[in-house]
Amino acid sequence: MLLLNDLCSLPFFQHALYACVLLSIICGIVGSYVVLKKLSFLSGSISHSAFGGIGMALYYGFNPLLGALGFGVLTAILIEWIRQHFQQERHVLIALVWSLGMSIGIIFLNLYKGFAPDLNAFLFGNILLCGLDDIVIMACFSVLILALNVLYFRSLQAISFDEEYARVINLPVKTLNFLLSIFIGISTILLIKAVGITLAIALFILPAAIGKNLSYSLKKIQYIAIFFTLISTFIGVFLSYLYNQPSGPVIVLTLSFFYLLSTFIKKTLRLF
Amino acid sequence: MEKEILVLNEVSFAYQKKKVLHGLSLTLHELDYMAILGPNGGGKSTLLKLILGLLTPSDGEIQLFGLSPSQSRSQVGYLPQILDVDLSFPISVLEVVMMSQLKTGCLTWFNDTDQKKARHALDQVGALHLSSRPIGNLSGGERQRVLLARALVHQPKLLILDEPTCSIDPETSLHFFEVLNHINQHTSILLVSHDIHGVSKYAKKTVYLNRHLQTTSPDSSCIAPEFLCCEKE
Repeated sequence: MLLLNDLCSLPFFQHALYACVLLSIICGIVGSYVVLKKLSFLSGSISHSAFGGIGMALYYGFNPLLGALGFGVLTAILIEWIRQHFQQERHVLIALVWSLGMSIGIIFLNLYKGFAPDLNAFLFGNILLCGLDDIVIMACFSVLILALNVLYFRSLQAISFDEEYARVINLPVKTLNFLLSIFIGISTILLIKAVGITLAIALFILPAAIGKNLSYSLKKIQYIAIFFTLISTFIGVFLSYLYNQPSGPVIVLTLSFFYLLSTFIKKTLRLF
Repeated sequence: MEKEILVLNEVSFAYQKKKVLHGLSLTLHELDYMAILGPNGGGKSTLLKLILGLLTPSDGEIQLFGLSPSQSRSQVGYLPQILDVDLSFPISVLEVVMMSQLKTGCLTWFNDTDQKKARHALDQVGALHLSSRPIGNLSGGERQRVLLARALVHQPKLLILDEPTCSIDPETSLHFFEVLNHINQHTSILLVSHDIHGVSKYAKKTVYLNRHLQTTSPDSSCIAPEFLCCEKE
């Protein structure tokens, strides 16, 4: 307990804990739509294509996070457009965007002559390195996500459940889908800081999947996802500091444990 | 003279270069009960999607309540094929039914009146006791009644149904057609079905569609074998 108190008094550890809270809100809400609309490929594609933005930003000398954000949002819009217009070839096109972003990133990094920053921070993330500026960005975005979810919850639920019917009742399906894609894009990029490009998809999928195992109400799934992201990131941050391991993989391992546990509970108790 | 609510004038449609519907002309009047029969791949569901404005005809014109389908489909209740609905989705029956009352482009939540209307629609189809159940836990017949309640909740003038009895047993199917017959006292009905028995008993008009249309009387004995297999290209 003493160790925990000591840790919590350290500014960088406090920042990590704030990041955990804010990322939990983002993952719990956006992740539930990713899982229910079966868009896990979209978040994987966005996080990997962001590497192209990081490489380009380093080469042209601007903030890598901005490069990743630009590439991530562009990828999200492109994939939603592909989803709406190319039903048959969409899996191929999404995989293409996924690998294209990575390839662009690698080529730009190869062309870059200066001092290359530690790429592990982008590939595997480290929530303990979140600065105050990162926290401010995450806080603003969390508020935006919460507002969108409160105001458009029923419409987002409708387009996730039955998109065709949502069009029949004249909901702005295309606009809502693009909006959701952009939010998935931004959320994914923010997750890179915590768990990296390679593991961002897990932080989106696993908490919402745990929620889906334990409830049949979208609202409850979001609460459960927020709760389990919070618990897992707290445990992950604490263990990674204690055992000097990267935070991303420890968080994902913790979430995977909770996911397996929830699957076991669902099967054993035959929930709904 | 009965009012025309749906007019199709020489409507054709093609998916990319593959022509699915050829020059269809059709009129539906107020309080009609029209069934569209035909083989798989004959274009039945495509026709419904054109009428709902989800697809655009490559030729011809569709008028729904005197306007284009996308302008007037708020007056239509739609029951899609059960296969198009994600049954693993975490949503309760009441939430599914209330979905029809979402308003376009504005902030969206439900009030007590919306809940009352949804409960009334569920009561109308004998499914009020299911209101708190997850949609994925229902039997085929229960699910169809819930989707019918969703289609009815905003009191549409025309009800469009796509294969409403395809996943339910004959007895439940017959009961479903009886419910539709009751609804037809105040609402026009257009349905696509494979259930020749149910259709022939209740529908006032029957149309056979296999990329072309043919109208006959609602007597199942007159269904020619060529209408039950898909037309070759």
